[in-house]
Amino acid sequence: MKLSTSVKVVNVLILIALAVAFAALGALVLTAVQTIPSISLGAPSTNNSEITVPISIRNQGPLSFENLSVAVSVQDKSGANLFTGSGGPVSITPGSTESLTVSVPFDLGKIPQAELSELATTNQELLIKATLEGALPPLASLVGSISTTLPWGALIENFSIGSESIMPLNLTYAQVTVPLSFTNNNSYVPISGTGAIRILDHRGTQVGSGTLNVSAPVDSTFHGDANLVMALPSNATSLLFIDENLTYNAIMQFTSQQSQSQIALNKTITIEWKAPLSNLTIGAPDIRLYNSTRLQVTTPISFQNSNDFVDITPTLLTAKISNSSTGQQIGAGSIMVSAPHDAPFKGNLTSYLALDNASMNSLLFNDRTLNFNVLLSGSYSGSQFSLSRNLSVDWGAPLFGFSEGNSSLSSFNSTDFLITTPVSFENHSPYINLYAPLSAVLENSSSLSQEGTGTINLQVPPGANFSGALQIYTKMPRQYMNTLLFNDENLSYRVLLSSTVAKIPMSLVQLVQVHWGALVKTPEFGTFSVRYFNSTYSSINIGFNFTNSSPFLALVGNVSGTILDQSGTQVGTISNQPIGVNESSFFSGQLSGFLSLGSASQRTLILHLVFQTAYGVGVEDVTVNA
Amino acid sequence: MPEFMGLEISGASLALRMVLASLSAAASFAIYYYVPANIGNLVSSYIPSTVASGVSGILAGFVSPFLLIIGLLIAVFSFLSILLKGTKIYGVVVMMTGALFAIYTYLVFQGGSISVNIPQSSLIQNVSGSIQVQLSLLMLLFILPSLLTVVKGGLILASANRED
Repeated sequence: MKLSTSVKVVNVLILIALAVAFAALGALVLTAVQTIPSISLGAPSTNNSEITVPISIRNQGPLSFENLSVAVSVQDKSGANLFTGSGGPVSITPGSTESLTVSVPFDLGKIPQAELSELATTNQELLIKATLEGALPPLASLVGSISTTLPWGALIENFSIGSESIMPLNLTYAQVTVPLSFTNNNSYVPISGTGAIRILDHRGTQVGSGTLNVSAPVDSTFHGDANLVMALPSNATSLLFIDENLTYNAIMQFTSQQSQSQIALNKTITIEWKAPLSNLTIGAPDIRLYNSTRLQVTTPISFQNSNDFVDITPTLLTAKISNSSTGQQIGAGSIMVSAPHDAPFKGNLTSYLALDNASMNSLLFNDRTLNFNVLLSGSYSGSQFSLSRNLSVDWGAPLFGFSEGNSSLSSFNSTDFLITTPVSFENHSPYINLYAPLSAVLENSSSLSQEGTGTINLQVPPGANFSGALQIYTKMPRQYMNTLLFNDENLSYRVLLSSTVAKIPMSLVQLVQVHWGALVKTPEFGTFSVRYFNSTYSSINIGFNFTNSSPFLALVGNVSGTILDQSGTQVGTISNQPIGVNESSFFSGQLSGFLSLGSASQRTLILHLVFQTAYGVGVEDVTVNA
Repeated sequence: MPEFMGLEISGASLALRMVLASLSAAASFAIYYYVPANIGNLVSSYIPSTVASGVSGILAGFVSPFLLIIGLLIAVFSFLSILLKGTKIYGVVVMMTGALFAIYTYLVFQGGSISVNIPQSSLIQNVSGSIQVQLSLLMLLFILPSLLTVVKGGLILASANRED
């Protein structure tokens, strides 16, 4: 072949090659240019777990698309992969239409908690990376990647817990209503599910819980109230008395129904607790005699229910009263208390102190300071509490300083005389109004035989003094008159004083000495003289005198007797001679009688005299001389 | 007849060759140098202003300085291939022209794998990316005429030497 021919052949080949090349380019461009306008994105659809975007592609070119695929990943601002999705692969023959569906599941449950919380609460730009692959065999294959940003709205934005409303139900539990609100600022993911709220105390122990159904569609704001019941501190006794700010940590955990993922949020809750038994006070007691064995102690009890919610329902408080020194319980009582919230309580605790007789009797006569301890205890809502207080009460004796003055004696009648005893005391009691008879029984201190009685009426208002005279009508001591007529004596008596003071029987024993003055003291007789009277008797006269030393008894009576010679033989008689002399007075008189003539010459005679008085009879033998 | 590079040619013919060669060189300069060198400005006149800068940037990425040098050389050899047609070195010129076209094509196709980087905020708001298109076969199809041109130049050179 000639070279020129060869050049021509090459020219032809060049033309052919150019034609083929441009034809291939044309086919490629035509396929691309005609297909690209047919690409249409369908409306993205969202269900609870993924976003789906259908892409419709119609191949109007001469070449086939093969293995068209899309891979999508979504990253947060830190670069962590949040979601990944893909579509395809699809092949599109010339003239056909295919749909490439790109699905991006947003499984929040697979996202680490830190990223999830960030994603849930922070507006940010998510980075979307899409990788495209495909081929137009045999001319071209394409691998492309594009990235763009997607504004991601916080699922929970402007989360706020409003002012919690706390209503303590009792000392154990409180109902807490927590208003919650947030904005689902996300345009793709709805929030629906259950919000679990837990309340932890300062030690991290769960003390309450509740749930809240949450439904916040995309781009919406949620408002709701979470109602939960929380336990108050187990050591609630102090809460009865002390105001305290109770601090808790509220943890809200939303569990998304879409993904079972959890979003946790915290908030501190403070309960301003006010004591329902604020200023529980045991006031100064009032003590009164109750009966013969017990004192009634009335103790004012007061407190302020400062709590805004808790009503103190009727609650029994019991009191144990014990001796401050020995600790021995001496009394008990109880009081029912109740107070609505923000209201005071005032009441009286009535209790009784048991005392022995000696102590009770002592309280009648002696002022004392009573020291005892009141242990007030009760139970409210399962919490035991007690309050102890030492109390001192000044006791004013109603018969303080009871004293008897020196007794005075006076005559009354022939059978009795009067012993008058001044009685005085001060009624130190602030409330006991004495209005009772004070009785006296006089007894012989030796034989204990009753010798007299007397009564005085006591009428003494509280705080007043009493002064009066107790008159005891005392029997004349006739059985001892033979001695008492002629001799001074100190008569010993025992006086039993008794009364009932404010229902308390009182008794008191006093010894009384009565100075008895002889009614015929130291009688003195002069010499006798004898005169002839008749053939049988001579008359006889004897002067005599004595002193009535009794300070209160006048002597009225007569004296008679017999005359004896020295051998004891009656030789005459003493005629009945009346005698009368006032108390503390001197008496002088003549005794007369008859003496047998045979004895008229005797120089010494014995007179056996019998003194008959209104108070008794006394016999005295005296020797007289001529 | 004046002789030019061993070729007897009249003055009028030489002048005509000069004109044709100049036109060819001008056309080649415009196609293979001016257009690539100003592709951004040229395209931006026909596309929306919002994406003009982006498109210009992307297209500018295709044009390497070496491509423009090759384009200038193509313009030169287009001038020479007309001017020197029938001369003894015409075959060399054709071979060089073919070789330059082959290189130019290879550069245009970036070795058969075209990468396009889409900077952010260039074409689509907030979208950036990169696209890599494998066009090796198409590149070979376009290189093949250039290679045949080299062969053609070789045949012409051989024919010229045989005539000597």
